[in-house]
Amino acid sequence: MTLTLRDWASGNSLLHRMDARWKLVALFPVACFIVAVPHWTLAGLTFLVSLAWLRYAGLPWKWLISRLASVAGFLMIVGLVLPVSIPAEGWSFGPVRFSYRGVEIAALVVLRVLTVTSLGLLLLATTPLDCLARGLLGLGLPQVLVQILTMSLRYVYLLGAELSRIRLALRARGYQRGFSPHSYRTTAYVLGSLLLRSQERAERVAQAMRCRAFAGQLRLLSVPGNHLGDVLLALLLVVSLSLLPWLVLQCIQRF
Amino acid sequence: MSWILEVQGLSYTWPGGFSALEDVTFQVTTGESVAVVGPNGAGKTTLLLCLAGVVLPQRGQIRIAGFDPRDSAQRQQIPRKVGLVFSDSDDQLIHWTVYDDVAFGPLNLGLPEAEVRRRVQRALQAVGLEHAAFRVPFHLSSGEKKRAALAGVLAMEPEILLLDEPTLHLDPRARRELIRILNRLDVTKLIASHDLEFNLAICQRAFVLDQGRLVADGPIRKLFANASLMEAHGLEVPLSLVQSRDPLAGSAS
Repeated sequence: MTLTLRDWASGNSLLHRMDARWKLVALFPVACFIVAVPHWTLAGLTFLVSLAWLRYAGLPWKWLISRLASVAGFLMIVGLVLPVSIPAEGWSFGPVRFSYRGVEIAALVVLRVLTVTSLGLLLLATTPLDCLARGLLGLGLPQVLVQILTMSLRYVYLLGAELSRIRLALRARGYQRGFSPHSYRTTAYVLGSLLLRSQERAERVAQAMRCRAFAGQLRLLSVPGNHLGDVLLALLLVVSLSLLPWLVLQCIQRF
Repeated sequence: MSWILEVQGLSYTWPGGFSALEDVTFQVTTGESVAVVGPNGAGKTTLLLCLAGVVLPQRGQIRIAGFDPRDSAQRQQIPRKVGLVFSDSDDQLIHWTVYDDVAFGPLNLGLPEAEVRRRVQRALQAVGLEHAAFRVPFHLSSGEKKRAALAGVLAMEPEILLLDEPTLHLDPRARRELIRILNRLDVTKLIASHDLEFNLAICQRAFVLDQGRLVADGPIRKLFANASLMEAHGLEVPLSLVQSRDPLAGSAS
């Protein structure tokens, strides 16, 4: 996933060129606002605006849907359980009773999750990781956390590539995954082997870093100072994702 | 004679009891290029790690670019003068763009940003990777990764370059390119590699290590042409030397 995110992060929209610090400053409070949104219609409008921003950033629908589908499992549980578990006025379908209130709450949760996920994608898909790290450091996030984040993302798909090679090697020797003690044992061996390889790689990476004079403090090249354009774009993000949907909803309710 | 590297009675045993180096002694002159060859497990990588101050030998003395790795304060200064290129480039490329990765070392040296950017530019130019400056290391080919890792070390402007299996996973074109780059670098080089032809193309001198001991030290062509020495230590005479001795060798179909 990080790979595909990095592919899109090299675009050229205003969002791509925006200072990561201002992007974080704008999107974090918006995400908090969305989590606190009280009604599904407002959450729905915010979701539509977030989709509009994603499209503006040039991210294709197919890619967006595949990314949003990553939270589908959780949403399906919420969407199925809440309507039948909240006792209130509703309708029956065979032996199952659905409540209007339950459907409303399920819609609210689903839309909140989809919107926050969209905002996360908006941030990650328009910001190269090195810029994000600089942004996080610039906002005062502790060095250690930024190092853990960047190094984890840098090496997670090397680990993924190693896992793929192990799986290929297993298949080449006729292994088929199934529900048997042999299969469980093999999975455990693979996980153990991955763990050991990761530990060995971590040691070598630490050695290589020390060889380049790393003494525990992450230093990065500086970014240009604040631009008025970044501040305005941050304001536009906040207004369009919080104030605008709220105003639209007020107008709809009035008429 | 000015030694840039002096090693006296160096011994190292890995935790677990494996003796990787046993009483190794040698000197290297400024500007020399030396190949370190030997079978698997001979101690080549351990020697480079000891020289770079990554692991500390239990016995013996090292003086590298004027520093003693056993002294903690001096050990921290070693990266200013000594660059180690690891065999697996992915161990070394830790950043999300090649540019940031090459800047990593100079930034750690506390250099001003303008100087860091100048060094990054020069290092990328030296390895011919200016076009890939803002690419993700994961997307690079093996040859490009190797060159990016080398650029990361060159940006530190070392006086001694230690290379561990530099031709690992390289195709012939990338290997030729690496030979060209290394031959242009005016620094002292120690190259640990099984690729004997590669060593011949770069180095004037060779060390043969076996079971942690330095068993031979001399002019590279003379050592590599010594069939009994090479065979006794799990090596073989490189094809180019066999052919130069016997014009018919290698042409038979």
